[in-house]
Amino acid sequence: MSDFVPRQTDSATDVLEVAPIEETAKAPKAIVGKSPGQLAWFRLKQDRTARSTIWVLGFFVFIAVFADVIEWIYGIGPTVNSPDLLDTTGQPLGYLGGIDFTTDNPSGHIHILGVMPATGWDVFMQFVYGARTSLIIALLATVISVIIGIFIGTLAGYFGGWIDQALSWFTDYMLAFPFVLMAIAVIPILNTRLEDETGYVTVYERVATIIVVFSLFGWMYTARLVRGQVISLREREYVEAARAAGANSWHIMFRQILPNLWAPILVTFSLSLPATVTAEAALSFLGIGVQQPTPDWGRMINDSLLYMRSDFMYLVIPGVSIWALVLSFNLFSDALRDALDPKSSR
Amino acid sequence: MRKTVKALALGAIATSLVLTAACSANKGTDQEKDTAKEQNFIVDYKGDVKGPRAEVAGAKTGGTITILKAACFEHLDPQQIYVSDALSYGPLVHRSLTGYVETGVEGEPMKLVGDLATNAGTTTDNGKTWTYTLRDNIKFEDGTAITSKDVAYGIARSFGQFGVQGPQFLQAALDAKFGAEGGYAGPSTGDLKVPGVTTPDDKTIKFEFATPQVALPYWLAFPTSTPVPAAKDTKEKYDFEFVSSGPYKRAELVPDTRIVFEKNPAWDPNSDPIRKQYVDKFVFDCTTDAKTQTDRMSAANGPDAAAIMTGNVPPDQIPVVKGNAELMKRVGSAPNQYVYYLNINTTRVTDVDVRRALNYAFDRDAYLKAVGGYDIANPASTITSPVNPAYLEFDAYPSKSDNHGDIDKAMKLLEGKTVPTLTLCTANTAVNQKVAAVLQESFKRANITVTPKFIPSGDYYTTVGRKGIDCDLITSAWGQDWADGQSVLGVLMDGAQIKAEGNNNYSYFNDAAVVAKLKELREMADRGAAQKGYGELEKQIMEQHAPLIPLRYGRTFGIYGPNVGNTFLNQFSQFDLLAAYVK
Repeated sequence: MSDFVPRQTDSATDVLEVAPIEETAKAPKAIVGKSPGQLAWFRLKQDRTARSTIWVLGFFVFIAVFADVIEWIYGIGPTVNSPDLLDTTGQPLGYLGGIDFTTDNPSGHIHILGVMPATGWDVFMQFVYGARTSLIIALLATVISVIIGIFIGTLAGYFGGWIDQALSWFTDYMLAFPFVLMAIAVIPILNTRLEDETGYVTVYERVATIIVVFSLFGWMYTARLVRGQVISLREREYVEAARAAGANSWHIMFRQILPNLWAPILVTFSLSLPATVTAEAALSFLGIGVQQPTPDWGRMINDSLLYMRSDFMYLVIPGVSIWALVLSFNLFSDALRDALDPKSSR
Repeated sequence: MRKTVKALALGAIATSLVLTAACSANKGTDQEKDTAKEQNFIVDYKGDVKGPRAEVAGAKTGGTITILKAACFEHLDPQQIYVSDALSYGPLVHRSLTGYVETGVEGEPMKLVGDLATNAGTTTDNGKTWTYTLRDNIKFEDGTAITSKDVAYGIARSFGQFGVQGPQFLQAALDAKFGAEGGYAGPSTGDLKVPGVTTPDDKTIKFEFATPQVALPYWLAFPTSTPVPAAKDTKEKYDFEFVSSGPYKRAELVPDTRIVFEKNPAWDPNSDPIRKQYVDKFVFDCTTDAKTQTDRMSAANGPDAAAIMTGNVPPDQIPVVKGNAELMKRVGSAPNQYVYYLNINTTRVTDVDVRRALNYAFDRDAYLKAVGGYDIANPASTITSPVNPAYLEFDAYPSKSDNHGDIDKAMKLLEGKTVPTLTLCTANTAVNQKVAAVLQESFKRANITVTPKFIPSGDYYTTVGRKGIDCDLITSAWGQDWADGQSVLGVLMDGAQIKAEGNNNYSYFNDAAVVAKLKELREMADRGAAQKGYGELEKQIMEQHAPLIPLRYGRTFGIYGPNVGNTFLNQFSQFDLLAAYVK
């Protein structure tokens, strides 16, 4: 996320640093020139919301990346049956959905967030691996959709004319589809195309379908944003200069204009990532997302509704997880926008 | 039936917890321990059972019973009835040639008796020809007498388009070409002559078959044999505008919403050994789902005090119901006819020791909890349900006392063998996804790798019923069509019936000795003796071939109102109303 900063500002830093050399020699407390990237980073560090949310985000990314290590330390996998932790109706024994910080129980493991009703699976490990599922799908889908959006937006904004009209019309056309409704309609159809003769779709095909559908229906906002920005930049002097120097359109679009757009793109990216997390959870909630035994928060919420009366904690954990992740992402991207472009919001 | 109660180490959990202040610990409650009542079964061939049905002690006349249903009957056209709700409550308005007498009294056997006919059937040649004589003073609701011609017309209807949803056993036995080109296709063709059925006079109906058909009395207990007056056959509208022959008749019928039955004055109690007419009205409220039914039955306010629910209490509400001692007095909970299996495809898993090992490795406790707990299921060890007269209690692959299977024995059987990855096929539903994952883990303990394959639930049975399907383990459920071992083993374990498509033998189990034995049992005229034979054969199949893992016996868990008298769960797992009254 942060490697965009040096790349576009390297040259600027060099240029700026030439002048202050003499000044620093005279006065030790002289103003040190900062690149836009450094300034943004500085502002971000000053922002309390950003500071706290980055920890939450870091936590989720950490558990998603190191899920296997956590399993190894914790000692029990996400789908290990522990029927002895349940009563005869399949409800967790003990307090708050079977929360147990000792290993003195039939499974011989601690269950810091309790166990799932019906199966006795450890909720904490489900939560850890569920974070991985959510983040992988959301990250891939958002990256692909942002790339598509950048490409279409840049083309439309730079070339203008009929290309812009056609692409803008197409963007508006795609925007007219209600996203979740579309996903509900399209995913089963795609899965029907992928299924074997018995009607079975593999786990990877299912995940790929979700990512493809999310990418295909998620690029429009980025495209519109990028188009607007490109239009405002394409008549600038440095673009004219590049054109005069004989650079081709490809070079101008992606080498001259695009590097100046990273800030807004980054903000859209960080805003659409949590939206994708929620949408993925919604799909799993509706039963067309990933399937057992792949842990998933959305499906967990759906499952927990069945036990709402008897095991409330089971609903709280995946619910709070999604809420915390999405809220943190949104607050963080707000802070990021303020940091990158302080004029925009104040 | 196996012992399922397990000591739960609760003290340790409870004491080890710090957060105890506001929350209560779940310490587990006792599960349903009763087993299915031993069902002695009597077929009244002699005609000993005569109308009227004996008075119920303390019964009063009058009042209205409300029946809470999630949806109305799919069909009330008698020849289309095949679903348990209509099989249970259809007899309030439809009589058939034979029928079942159930009293719900412990130890009293269920009887298959003559309903419109004087007995369950008379045959002189071991089942090739059957004769039925109608009782006296049987009438339709309009007062016209019911003749054997009306019964024959009803049976004729079952061959046509208004019989396709009903059972097809009788039709297939009467007409070898049934359903094919040149077969009899019902009265709409203008031909009323059903092959093999004759009515020598208005009181007699005769059935003639090419081969002995000892199950005929059971088949005629389906409303297939309900009389329909030819002049009043409203065809597709007969689902709503039927002519009643039972103690009640249609008073009001709003499709998909509400049905009201009122007393039928033309019905003569002396002609009927099965039904009573205590209640004034039955109101079917078809707009309440299982959750609402549970809530309304728990409250039992106003008319709901004399109501029954037809759904099962949802698993998550069972703990709430069980926590209420008053309510538990009105709960009907009993095993039903459904048994759930994990079939092992014997054409793919050819090593019987692997199949035995799978039986040992199966974690029954984990499975039962995953499907909703011991209130809606009992641990199974047999192919036949305990409610079937052919049931023989045995467990070929006993689990260790913790009910998690016997991994040591499984490992021993698998010693020196490499089991390939097994594909587990199941219908794609939320519960099945969870159950598949639980089964996967349970077999993993014996180092057997299983990968689940979820098949769209709409065509699940069509898909797995194709011979040569690439599934090693196949989940299925079966409920008997009539109370006889033939209706279970004869369908599920008969290798001679394996065809290209539409199989019920999902283990594709084909053993010459078993096939021969099944044929012998099928043709035995003495059904009582045959039941014993089925039980022994089943034990032999499980021990020698292990073609499937019995997963669970289904259980029904429903509530009836405090003012409903003489109701109990009948053979279709519905609250019986044929002799119920309002207190």
